[in-house]
Amino acid sequence: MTALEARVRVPARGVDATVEVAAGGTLVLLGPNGSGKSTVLEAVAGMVPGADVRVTLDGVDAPRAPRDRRIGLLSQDDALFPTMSVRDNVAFGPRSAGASRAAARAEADAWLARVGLDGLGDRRPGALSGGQARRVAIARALAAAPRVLLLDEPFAGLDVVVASEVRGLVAGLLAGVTAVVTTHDALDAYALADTVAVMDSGAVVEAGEAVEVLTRPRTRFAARMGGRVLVEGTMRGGALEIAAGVRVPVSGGPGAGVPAAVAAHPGAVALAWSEPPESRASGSAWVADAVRGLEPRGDVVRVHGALLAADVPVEVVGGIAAGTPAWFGVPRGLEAYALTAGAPAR
Amino acid sequence: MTGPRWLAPLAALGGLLVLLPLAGLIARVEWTDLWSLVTSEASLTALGLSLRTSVVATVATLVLGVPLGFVLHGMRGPLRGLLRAVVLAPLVLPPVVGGLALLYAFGRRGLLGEELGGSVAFTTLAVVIAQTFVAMPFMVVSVESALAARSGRHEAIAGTLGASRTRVLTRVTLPALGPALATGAVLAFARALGEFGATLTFAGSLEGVTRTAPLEIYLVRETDPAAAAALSLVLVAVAIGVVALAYRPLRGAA
Repeated sequence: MTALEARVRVPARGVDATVEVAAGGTLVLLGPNGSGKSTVLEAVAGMVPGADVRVTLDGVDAPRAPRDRRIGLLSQDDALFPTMSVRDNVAFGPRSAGASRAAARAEADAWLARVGLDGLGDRRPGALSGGQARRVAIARALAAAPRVLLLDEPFAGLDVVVASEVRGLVAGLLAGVTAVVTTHDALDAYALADTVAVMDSGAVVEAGEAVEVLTRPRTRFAARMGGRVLVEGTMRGGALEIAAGVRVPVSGGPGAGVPAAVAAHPGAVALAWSEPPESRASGSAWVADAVRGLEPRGDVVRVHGALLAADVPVEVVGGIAAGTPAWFGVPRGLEAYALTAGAPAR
Repeated sequence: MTGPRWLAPLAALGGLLVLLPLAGLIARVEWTDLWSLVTSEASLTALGLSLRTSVVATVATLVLGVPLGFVLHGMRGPLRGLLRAVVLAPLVLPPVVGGLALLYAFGRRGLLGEELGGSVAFTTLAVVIAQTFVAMPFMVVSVESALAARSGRHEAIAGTLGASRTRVLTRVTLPALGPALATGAVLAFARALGEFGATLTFAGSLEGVTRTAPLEIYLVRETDPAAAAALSLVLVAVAIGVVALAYRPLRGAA
């Protein structure tokens, strides 16, 4: 097992990021499309010409040539070699490392069995389904015995059922493998991550233990990537003061006067258009805001305000335009945590 | 895509320009004597020499032209355009000029005449050199455009899997270039088979040594027109057959 530390600078793509993974751990790089996640991975793998990359493995500078670096990359497009059989694709790593043809093929078959593709070794990559191709790519990457494995959006482009199966497979195979996984989906982070780094516009904006980053985010961006909405304010007694006179009762939290936040689920935030219901009766603390944008998310619509966001059924927002005044109801008693850098989170 | 209708008569004219001469040739063939004419000793000797030298020349275009295609693809800037123009010059050069140039390079009094221990001119090797000279551009163009159409992603992934550059070339890039190599080889073979001017100038016309089928045809066209027509028909059949079997249009820009 190998610990990875990498500083990646690709000015042409506006990327400047540092990532760290402990030996045997899994770092999930969470960010929207275009945030530079893939660039970071490809640069670490040595595939981006002109990138200024410093990679250390167990504290030692990694060799420059990709073949000596032994950092595997599972790319979004699978990139299976179309002119080889599935077996030869998987055997490619062992063969490159000097294994005999027979040994490499036996190893390839063992890996194919491990990813649930027993008996498909003679197929051509073109004859595989999307899920099968992804499994072959995973087997090929791991068969090369990489010191670190990088997985670029490993579940993107697969249908929901197949994605779940592959996610389960990857979670099992990554045990004990130092890995970096990019995703824009908080579900992947919950399923795979020991640590999480949130990327925005080419930079890491927040990083730390997975639970910490996902449930106690410090930036609105990280909160959004983790499927939450960050309510920031200052502690006043047992409440979080969001704006002058607007207070949300919380549990825990730092002492009075300390900047703090709660991370609410948008689905738990209520929404009202006119006067808010009687606060005490509704169980929510109501905050006046205005609609900034509507984000369709399957069967709900996330209504974004300047401060808050709420998931509501589609029919609720019919005819609502940006600028419409709205009241957001934050559940009372959410756990508050300090936002001061370096301060304990409780 | 279908063009406007007025393209059709022009296309028909173009087709006729190619078809009519072929029809004329076929009309001249004396079918009853065809077999004996083609299997006459002189014809067989010339045909055999042509096939052997063309195959060797095709292999030579693979061995030399593929690396040239890679080098051209890897170059940047104006130097690339210049080198490409030089390498592809035999495509547009009159073959006689090519033959003369070869003579001045490898002939007895040529640049390398003495280093080569006398002259390679007027030997079977000279035939192969002349054919390779005129046929190699097809391979270079084919390889370079095929490489330009590749993203390099498979090669990069192969590198992360621990493959050396040689292994990436032989196991990933070259297999993927298969169709382009086939196209280049077919065009090169057909060009080598039809080579006349450069061969005559650089290699001469010695029976069994340098007199390939095109030279034999030219030689007997007046003394024995029936033999010339028969041999021509064989060349036409081989050329059309090979191209129909293996040629696929080039993709990407040359």
